[in-house]
Amino acid sequence: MSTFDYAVIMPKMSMTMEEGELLAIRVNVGDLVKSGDVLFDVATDKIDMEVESPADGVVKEIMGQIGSTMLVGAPVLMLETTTQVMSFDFNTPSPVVETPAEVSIVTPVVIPTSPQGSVKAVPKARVIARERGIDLASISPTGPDGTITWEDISNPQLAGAHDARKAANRKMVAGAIEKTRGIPQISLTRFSIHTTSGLDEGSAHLVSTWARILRRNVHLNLSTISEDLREHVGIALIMESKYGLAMPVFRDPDLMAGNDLLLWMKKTREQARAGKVPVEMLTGATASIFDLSHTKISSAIPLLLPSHTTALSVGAPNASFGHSEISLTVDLRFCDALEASNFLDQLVSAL
Amino acid sequence: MSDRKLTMSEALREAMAIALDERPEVFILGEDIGIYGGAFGVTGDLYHRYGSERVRDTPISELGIVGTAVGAALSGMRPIVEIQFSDFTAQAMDQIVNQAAKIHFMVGGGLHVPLVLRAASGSGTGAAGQHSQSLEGWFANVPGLKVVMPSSPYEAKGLLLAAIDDPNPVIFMEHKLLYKVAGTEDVPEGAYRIPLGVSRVVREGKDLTVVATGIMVSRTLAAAHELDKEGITLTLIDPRTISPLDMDPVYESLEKTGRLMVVQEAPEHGGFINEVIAKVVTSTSLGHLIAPVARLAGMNVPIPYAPQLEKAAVPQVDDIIKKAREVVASWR
Amino acid sequence: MTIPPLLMGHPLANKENASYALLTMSRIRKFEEAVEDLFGRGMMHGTMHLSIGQEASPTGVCMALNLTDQITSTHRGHGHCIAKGADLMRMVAELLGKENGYCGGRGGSMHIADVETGNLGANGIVGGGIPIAVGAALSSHLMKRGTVAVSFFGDGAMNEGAFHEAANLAAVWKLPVIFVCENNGYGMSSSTELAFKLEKLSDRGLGYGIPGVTIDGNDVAAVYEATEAAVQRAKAGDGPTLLEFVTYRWKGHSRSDKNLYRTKEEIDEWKIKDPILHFEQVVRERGLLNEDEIGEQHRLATEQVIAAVNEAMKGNPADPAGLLDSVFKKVSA
Repeated sequence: MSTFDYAVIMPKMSMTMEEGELLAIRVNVGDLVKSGDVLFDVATDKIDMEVESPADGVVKEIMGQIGSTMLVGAPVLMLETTTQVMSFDFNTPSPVVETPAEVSIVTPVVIPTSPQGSVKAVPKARVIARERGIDLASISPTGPDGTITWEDISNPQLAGAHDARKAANRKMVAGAIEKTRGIPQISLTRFSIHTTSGLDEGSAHLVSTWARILRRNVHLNLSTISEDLREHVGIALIMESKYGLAMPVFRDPDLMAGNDLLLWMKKTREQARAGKVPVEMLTGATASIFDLSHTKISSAIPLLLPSHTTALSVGAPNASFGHSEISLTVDLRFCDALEASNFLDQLVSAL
Repeated sequence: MSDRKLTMSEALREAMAIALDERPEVFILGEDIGIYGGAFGVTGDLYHRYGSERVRDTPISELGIVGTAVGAALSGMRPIVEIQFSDFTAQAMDQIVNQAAKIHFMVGGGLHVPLVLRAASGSGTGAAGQHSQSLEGWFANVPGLKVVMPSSPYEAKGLLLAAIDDPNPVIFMEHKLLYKVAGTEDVPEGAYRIPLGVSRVVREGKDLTVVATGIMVSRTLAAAHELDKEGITLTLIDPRTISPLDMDPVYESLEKTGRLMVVQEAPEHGGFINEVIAKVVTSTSLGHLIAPVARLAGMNVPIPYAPQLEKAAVPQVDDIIKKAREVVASWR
Repeated sequence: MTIPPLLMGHPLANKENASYALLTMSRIRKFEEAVEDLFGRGMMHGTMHLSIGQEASPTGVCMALNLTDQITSTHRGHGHCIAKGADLMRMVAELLGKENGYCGGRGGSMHIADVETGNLGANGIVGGGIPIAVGAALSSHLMKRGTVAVSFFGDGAMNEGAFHEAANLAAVWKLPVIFVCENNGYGMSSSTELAFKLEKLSDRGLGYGIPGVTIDGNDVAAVYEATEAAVQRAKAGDGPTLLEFVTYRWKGHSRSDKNLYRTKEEIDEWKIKDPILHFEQVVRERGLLNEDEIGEQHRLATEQVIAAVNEAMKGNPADPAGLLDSVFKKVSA
């Protein structure tokens, strides 16, 4: 009769069992056993269990040691059986079961904390405050339980922070103009035939043209403070901003493609309106331009700002005759009136 | 008859008659639905029109009835079970929750359970704690069940026909107080379906978005008419199907009003309507709120017997008016 | 390869029937042994409820049923599934959590259903399937299909309210359903002596106005005969029958059962009444099958089970990606 080798293993006896202790072995090598005879006893954290022989046979080998802890599936003893105990082809690679890692169901909630202690505000107020850069602590709450309401933050009369910025801006501009009194300067004006174009197109053309002229006349591009020759040409274009006036600086606008400059111009105007002119555009000006061509102001005398050699203003075109006044102010320490009138002519021709 | 302002009872009966005519596999079973015409008169004369095979009276055996319906649904029928009081679904919970809801999923899709379970729900008839509950929240929390709460006769007929069409088990919670009330909208005569899983914007306003279920829809509507006079206007949204829940109209409305109120009859603690709040708060819709969410729900008590106690235990029209005023005034 | 054609008829009618009956019982036995082995190796999740020792009941009953007749089963339902014609490979695949298992890995041992063979599903709730079978019978009655429904349940289920309600409903409506109680003497650990004040559970039929019969559940021929009679009754429109098949399960209720509630002697006593050995003896005596033919059925059964297991192990594990889409059946436009 043919015989079969069959390994009797540490069985899995509960859902969570991973290993078991071999308590006792009831047979010896060479013993004859019948199907159902108890071969060994195992213990788990939950229960003790007797493991029975699956078939008639002889105990061929004992691998397990009494008292040892064995993993589920580990062979405890080998039987030589007369009936074939079913065995399966466990060696064929079966696709790996990937139990998804324990997914934490709790999503961390990021609660933005106000740096100045806890401030209560309705959600929409928080959203708007963050967008506008308003410090909630500066708002007086009128809602229940000291909560800042939507009205508190959206009412312009009550948005103190907004006013504060405006005031600060005004102060800064006034301070700069104050310094103009100390600069020896002369202002010249002439007419120019003005082709109507969009605000940005006009400004871009003006800015790049003047920049070209300044570059040709290097000594106009000096810093009036340090008297160093500057490498670049920086034109500060005065424009309306959220908090008053802003003066973003366009560096080397004559070296850019016309379309690029136009796009930059448009974008900067948007940023100014939102009160968000980028920091890098606030320095490096060698000259300033006041473009009033799209307002009703016919002329204005541009005042020199500290460190600028020139300042330009372009007025609104005359309703009947279509020409506009262009005024140029120069720092007399670096440029005389004759030169100034020359430059003005160059500009008008170039425009 | 040109006047089609039916009661909910009449509207439901019409729907069932249409279904019985359209599909031979539809039949109705329940206690006292046959000769008696139903405890609330909903099945009415269907027994006489369709016979005792298709309109089946049963002994008092909710578990056996629902289980039999499940087995019939698994074998090609479309049973409509009437449970006399929604409170009695407790007797049948194994067959509803462990069997009907899960069979399609558990067997891997090979079987499905096209079953409609209609139950009379809610308080206001002096029937006290064991005959007055609103238990839709239990079923909304069981994947595999669809849960519908019709708020008017017009809604009831269209939703019931859609529920019967649905190949999945649908729990259809009708409010007892609405059975004999004529609706304000005409109920179309033939067949029409209102899709499950679609919310309805009942009216629009600028001050407050209200999501209400079941009988709270008509109470909120009444409150809204009063508030109109004070210049406070509500947007009222009726989910109709609470599971699966259509939140899109709520998000859209909150962008305009910034204020949310939810109203249900069922007790507040752990109730369904909290899901509406949860969905808003766990989404970017939160950023539109200019007020804390207002919630009106039943008191956390069994429904009491005496009429003044019974009324006090659940939101009434006046409660809705007061709360709406308060929210709009305090949170500008 | 793993689904033999179903055969109807008395197990002792002829050689073919006898072979089929023996093969079916052996397939059930070998399948359960294989499951026990695989579970013991930690390859199956959860727990298993084995029906070793109870093979005659599903075999005898299903030999009296058509493919279109329906059954509902229990948590100990592998035998019922197999006797009704299930694909062994898909059963093992389900127990291994594979995507090509009967339930796509979503149901496990207790929820295997096979629509094509009229199997409305095993059930994890004791008594859960009884009213469902009544519903299937109601459906047959309303649609005049002429089929019967069989509800398999254990002695434990007879004390659930669901049994009472379902039996009563079936009786008053005279539905073509057969209630098959496989009385193996124990609920989980509570013996029938402690759970019932009856000697014969079939006596409960009287309470519903239906006939009740107690049969030796380890005699596959007797099981067949009782079922066939009940099927005829049902088809004649005379309503349900309560059949009690007295049998025994050799293994514990589930894998964590240490059999503290019964003695080894009791188990050994019943092992002598092994339904398979008993049937082998009968077919020998009657000259229906010789030794080789008997051995051949066991060999075939072993071969089929091994093939099923090896094939099933190659399958892909079920993928969580499809879970949310599997809760509802899609509404067709």
